[in-house]
Amino acid sequence: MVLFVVLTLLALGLGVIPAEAQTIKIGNLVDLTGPTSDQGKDIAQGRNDAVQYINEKGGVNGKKLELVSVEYGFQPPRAVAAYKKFVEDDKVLLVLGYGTPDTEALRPFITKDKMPYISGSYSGHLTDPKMTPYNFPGGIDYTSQIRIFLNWVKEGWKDTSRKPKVAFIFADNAYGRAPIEAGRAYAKEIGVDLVDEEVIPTVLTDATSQLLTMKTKDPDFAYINTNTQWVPVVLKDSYKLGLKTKYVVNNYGIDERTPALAREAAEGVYGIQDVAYWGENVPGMKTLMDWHAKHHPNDTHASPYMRGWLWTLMAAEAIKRAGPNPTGEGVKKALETLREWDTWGITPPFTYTNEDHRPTNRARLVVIKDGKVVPVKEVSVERDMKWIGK
Amino acid sequence: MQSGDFRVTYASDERIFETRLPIVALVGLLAALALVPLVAGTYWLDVLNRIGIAIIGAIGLNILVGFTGQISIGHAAFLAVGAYSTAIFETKAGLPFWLAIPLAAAVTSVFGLVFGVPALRLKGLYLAIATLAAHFITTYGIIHWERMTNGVLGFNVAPATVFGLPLDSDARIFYLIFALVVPAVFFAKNLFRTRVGRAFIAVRDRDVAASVIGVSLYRYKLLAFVISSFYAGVAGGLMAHHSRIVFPDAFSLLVAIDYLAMIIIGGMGSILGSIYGAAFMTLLPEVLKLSATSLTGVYPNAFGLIASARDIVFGLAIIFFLMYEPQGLARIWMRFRSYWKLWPYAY
Repeated sequence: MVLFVVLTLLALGLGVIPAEAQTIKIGNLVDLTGPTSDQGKDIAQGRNDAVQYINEKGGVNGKKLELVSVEYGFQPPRAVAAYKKFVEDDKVLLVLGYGTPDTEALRPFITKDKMPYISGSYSGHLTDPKMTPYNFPGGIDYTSQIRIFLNWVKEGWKDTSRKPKVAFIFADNAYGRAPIEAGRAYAKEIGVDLVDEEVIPTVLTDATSQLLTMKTKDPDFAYINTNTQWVPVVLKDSYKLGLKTKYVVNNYGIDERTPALAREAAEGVYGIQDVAYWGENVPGMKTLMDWHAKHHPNDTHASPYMRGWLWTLMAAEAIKRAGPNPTGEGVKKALETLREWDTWGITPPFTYTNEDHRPTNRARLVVIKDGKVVPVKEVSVERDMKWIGK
Repeated sequence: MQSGDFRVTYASDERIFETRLPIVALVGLLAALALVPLVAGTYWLDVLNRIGIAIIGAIGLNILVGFTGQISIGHAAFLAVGAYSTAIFETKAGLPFWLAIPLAAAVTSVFGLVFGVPALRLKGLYLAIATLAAHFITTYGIIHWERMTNGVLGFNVAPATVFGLPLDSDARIFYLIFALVVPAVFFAKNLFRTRVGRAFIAVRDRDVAASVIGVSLYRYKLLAFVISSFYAGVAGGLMAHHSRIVFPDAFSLLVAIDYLAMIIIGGMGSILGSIYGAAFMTLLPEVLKLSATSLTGVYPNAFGLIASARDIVFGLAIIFFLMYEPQGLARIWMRFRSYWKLWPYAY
């Protein structure tokens, strides 16, 4: 009896999803269970919602989009397996990628298969079209962010008796380490003293020992490069130990949720942000809010949700520009035609060229004040070709 | 139909196949397997390949835990040593894969020998903790010996080539994997028909008694570690070639637990059980994933929910097997088979 019911349900299930000929398949790689699931859940939902939205508006060039999703737990080997499935079984047109370790691992595959790849990794290593012609980082690269941080430290420094002292605190994985080498070089170049580097585990439960070491070096500023769910651990431990250091966190390490997670330890912490916050007054927000009210009014969203939308909209735009019969090569070329492309105001406008896959050189500096993330000013850094691919 | 069980010689008692039918079935199965890459898509080939690798790894662990009774939670470390040695031999020393994998397996054996030494004095939980040390020492070594292992970043491995043909697709590497699974299974199956294998079982059942009747505990415990880690080395080498990347997190403690679950669910002390367990543990998340994907049409958030359900289902499956069928899937299969053998005239 049970078997019968199950079989009937399965048969119905298969019936509900008809194999549509006029669909464009997009590979969707997400982490819902691993150490970056704080981003992944919102990103996955943003991508799903954006695809539904585009399809309700009639699709792209008359064709519907279809996401083929794989959850990979932030494990590069599983990402490679998922990618092989995308290419050989699903025959996807492009892939919405995810983290730094997996995008790095997939580099040779993407290039060989000429597969346009919009990655959630903003690693500087992945921005050079000479090395990774098919990879398109979906936001301001980590190297530009660390340069923004160092410039900001230098500009604000008034004490003439000594140079400002900085420290880097980063997760022990490809994402955490991505901008560190460039950061060292740039600090030297502009005359900021890098006095300490602290490596923290990807999954962080306690940062006391690292912070005690850092305390002896007494940096004025520290740059934290890990994820939103682990940054509060550093902040709380630092608060407990009474460190005077000022913290700046990169784009994936701070968002609307940080004040609630770190409470008083978050006060006065700065962040570099690539996207607008949920509910902020930017042109596309009304569409997003309406969608949200119509489909899942009880959910809460944070900025990763915007990234999910942003990358999907970008993929749709490229597919549209690639014409009625898009190919991988065509989509790649189309992405490289984006010039000051309006991202609904979610980010500063994006530009990709065949010489530079850094979408923008602008971001926002934010600070946590009275339990809220408040924008301070727009910050930017020179689009220097010297730092591409670094 | 069999009309009785007559074993009048030692040879007949030792037979692997009691009748001709299983031999025919096995040959048929192997022939069918050889044809699979021609019809299956990459997704299912990938799953099959992972099952093949897990079979080799699980047999290795079963020889140590299920047959010799030496509990190890260091299996992920042994797999890691196999994978990294293979990758390093190929990438840094430029050896071809058919030299690199056996060499890596030999390195892993030596490694297993070293970490097997505590087994001479420790038993049960204490040994488990000692092998846990092996795991953490290995992980530490991999992450910090950056010159060789590239640290936390891991590195890509070029596809193996056979006569100039790169094994760069799942269909091609499938043949390499299953060409190694078959001898791995037969070696293990035969091992327990020999003096060495019986000594292993004697050590498991009661080591004091075994040593009294002349089984050298020193020799056989270490030998079990060596053979087990040789298997792990081969499995690790294949992992490196299948995923084409070696990466420290791919050999986390959870992997060791997964392998233990495989032999618990499949059947401790059973070669066939290792195969069933490997298949079960590899297929379960895929089945969950597929059901999630088919449900997304009806309920869009199913994907996210089911992703987190994997571990819960694993936990429940292990509790279920420990409570209701400690001898695992192998035992269930045997009961099923004997029921149908006698059907409808069961007595």
